Amino acid sequence: MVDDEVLALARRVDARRKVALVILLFGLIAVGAGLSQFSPGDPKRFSPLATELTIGGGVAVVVISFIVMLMSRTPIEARSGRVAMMRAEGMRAKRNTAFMLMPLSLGLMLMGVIRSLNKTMAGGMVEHIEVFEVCAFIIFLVTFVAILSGQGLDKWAKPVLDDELSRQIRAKALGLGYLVLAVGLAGLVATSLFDRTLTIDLIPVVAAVGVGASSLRLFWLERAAGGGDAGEA
Amino acid sequence: MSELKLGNRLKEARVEAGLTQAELAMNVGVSRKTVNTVENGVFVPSTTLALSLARAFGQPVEALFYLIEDDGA
Repeated sequence: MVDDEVLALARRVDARRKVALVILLFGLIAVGAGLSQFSPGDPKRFSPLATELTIGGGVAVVVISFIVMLMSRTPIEARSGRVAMMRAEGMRAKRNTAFMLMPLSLGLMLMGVIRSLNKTMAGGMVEHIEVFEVCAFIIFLVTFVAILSGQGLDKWAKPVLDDELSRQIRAKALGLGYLVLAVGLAGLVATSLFDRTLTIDLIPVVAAVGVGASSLRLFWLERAAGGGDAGEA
Repeated sequence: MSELKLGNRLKEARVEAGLTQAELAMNVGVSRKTVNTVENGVFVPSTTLALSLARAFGQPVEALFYLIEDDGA
């Protein structure tokens, strides 16, 4: 097979794996929604049958999509040489777009999380949807930190996505996030002396701003490192 | 007080060899952005990368990289 054919085949496999990943995430959401029904406090809940169906259906979707992902193996020719480099460069551009959008998704989730925490601090009952919202925020936050720190990269993509420059850029971006978090936490300690409700409300804001600052810095540094003869390749 | 900076002739050597940044990057096993930032002097490569780049052109490392004295003027 010539490089273009290998690349086209690898793109088809990648697309299948991505679709399976999206379906898997929907399955996880269904499982999460079902499991949140077991959290204590909220009297409004799904019927036992609906809960079982939600969890069972979710688990089935997760298992099937996971099998599809495992079966979508990238051809070995696409994991080395020129094709691997081209795929990794393409992946780098997509990851950079994701870095730009991370603060936006965290910002959108923040509203629900703050409302939930605020209500609980005021003595309100925790509803299932609020457990779900807060868990989703935590999962996204941890996932974003893992992506920003370069975890889970495929071995074939490492020469491009985990080379010297990438590691230096990541270190700079994570350093800024750490600084923002440290200053934010110091602010929270000071705020806790005067207003505990406000302090609790601000915890997710500080976490989101810390991760958001890292991702925007990473986006900016990656963008600044571009240019050159990209079009010639 | 003067400060030492790293200069390079990477772009000249690459153009002379008829390579694109992507081709050189693939030969050395790094990203194209790394080659681009080294050429522009934005990124200071490690000794390993500098030696790998020199080896890719069959030249000693001193032929590609040199020190510039920057007095801040």
